[in-house]
Amino acid sequence: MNAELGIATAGGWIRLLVGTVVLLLPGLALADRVFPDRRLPLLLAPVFSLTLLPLAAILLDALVGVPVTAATTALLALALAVMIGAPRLRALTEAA
Amino acid sequence: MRRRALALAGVLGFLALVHGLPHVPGDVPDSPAAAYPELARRAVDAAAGDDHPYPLHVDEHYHMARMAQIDRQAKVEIDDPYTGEPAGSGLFTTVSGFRTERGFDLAVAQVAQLTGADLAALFRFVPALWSAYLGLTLWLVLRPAPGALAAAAFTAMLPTTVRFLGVGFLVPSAFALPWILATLHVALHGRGGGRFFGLVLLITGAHFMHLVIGVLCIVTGLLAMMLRGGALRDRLAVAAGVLLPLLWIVPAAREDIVAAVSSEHTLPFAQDVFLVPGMLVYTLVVAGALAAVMRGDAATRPHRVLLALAVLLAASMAVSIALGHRNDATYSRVVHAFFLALAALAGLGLAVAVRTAARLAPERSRRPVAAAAVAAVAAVALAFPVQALLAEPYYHVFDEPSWRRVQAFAASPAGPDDTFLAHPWQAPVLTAVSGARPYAVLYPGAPPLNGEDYTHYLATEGADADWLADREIAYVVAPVEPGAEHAVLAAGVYKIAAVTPEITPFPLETSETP
Repeated sequence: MNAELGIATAGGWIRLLVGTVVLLLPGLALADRVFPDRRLPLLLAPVFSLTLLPLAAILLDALVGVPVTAATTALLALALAVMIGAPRLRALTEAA
Repeated sequence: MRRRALALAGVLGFLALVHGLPHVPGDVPDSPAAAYPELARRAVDAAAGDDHPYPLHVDEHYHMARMAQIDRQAKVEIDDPYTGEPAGSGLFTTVSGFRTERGFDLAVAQVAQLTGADLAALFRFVPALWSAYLGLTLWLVLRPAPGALAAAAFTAMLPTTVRFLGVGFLVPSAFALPWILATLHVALHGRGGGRFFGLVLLITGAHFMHLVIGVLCIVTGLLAMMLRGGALRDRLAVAAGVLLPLLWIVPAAREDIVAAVSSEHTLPFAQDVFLVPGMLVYTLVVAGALAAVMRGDAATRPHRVLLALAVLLAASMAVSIALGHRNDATYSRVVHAFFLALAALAGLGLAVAVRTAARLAPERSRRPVAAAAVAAVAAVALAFPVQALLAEPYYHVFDEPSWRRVQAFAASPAGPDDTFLAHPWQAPVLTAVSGARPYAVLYPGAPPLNGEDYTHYLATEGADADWLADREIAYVVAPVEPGAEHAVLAAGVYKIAAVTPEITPFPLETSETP
């Protein structure tokens, strides 16, 4: 029955895994900004991601007509993660 | 550490199983003692795929149609999936309450786009996973206070019913519950500018998810600000983060809020939902409330915020009942947030009571004895709500044959320019998979639109060509073949042959030949 629901192929599982990671990235970045010195609040990443992605999509659709597709949603997630996580990324780069 | 992680994983698995019950039908236990054996049987059934994998509640079907429309049109301001009418324009028309929780539809559509998961699969599995996540969030918010894990386990008592909805369905009011806890945690523990922006985003996002939960996030944030202590500057920063979103929410949603609070429906109050937790849980809640107030320490600050929230919600529900005001915003949709707050207090009450009693045990064995006692009492206390959840009846709009028709219709050429006739309760999902417009359809909370026409179709065993043509019905998805000329696309899925207008023969003049 799960096959009928569209999630039982190997490719489907890989996309599910990769998509979930991409989905969580902006939330992880925001959780890190809100709680800079604590690790457990990273568990709030799903809530933060599902806040950021719809709000960003609403704004971009209304202001510049960016379509809501899989590709734009993935790009949006990556862009938000880089923008919000920039200070942490810079610190990690400098430390390396 | 490893033992704690295992205990946490066990609790989350338990929550996923309990709140996945609407999709795993089975026998009804006749006593709380029979609840866990029946739960185990259903777990085996679920693992074996002997479940009900189709979207359940009519609210789920409605949102599924809207999510599919977002994906199909690749925009936020979608045309109405049932009528094709364009949506209103404007940036904040999406902030509206009960019937158009656009942020929820958009979020789930984005999850489907990113993960490639079928929407129907999300409706099957996300409620169980998200319920476990709700428990995890509560644990995160309450720790390191005693009883955080028990509190997570007590979220198993959150009811899922056809009347009140709940976390066992993928619906906005239940899905948005973690936003309340996230707001609380950010308000109490966030730091610097991230805290301010975090609150602004969470509260704005919560309003896009569900109007009532959005308002509860504001209330929770303000309660946290009042009870958090610390420097005045920090408290003002929290207040600013909580209140700033009102600048764009209130002008856009004012009419929705007034309508949400003032509107009434015909559904009964159904106070028996408050009997679900049982006396033992309520006793633990009282103990937890007393402990939270009397300890007054930083660790139990989230409990005091949730206690205040529970008191406010209880007052709102009591006033609704006393005035006979049958309303979602002040009664039906706050039930789950109320139970969530009770779960936090019950966990604390249990831990404090057991720790107090464990002092009687030898010091060396206190910790393991206390942990075992917490687990045992929680298991006994939860047997009552688990029995209630196992006994909760759910209607099934789809079964295997009707789902095969859904799949056949999805594979058919039917599209947004076509109108189809089907059972009004099944029509929203048929719209979701095809984009076609339903002639008869059920809107949640109202009688089916053109439902009598579907009844007529069945009663007349397929109506006739004129009747179907008058209604511009191009497809029929039903167990009865149409009375007009048609092609059979699959069992129960029919395409009506194109209707050409009847031409009256022009009387030709004939010339008589001599």
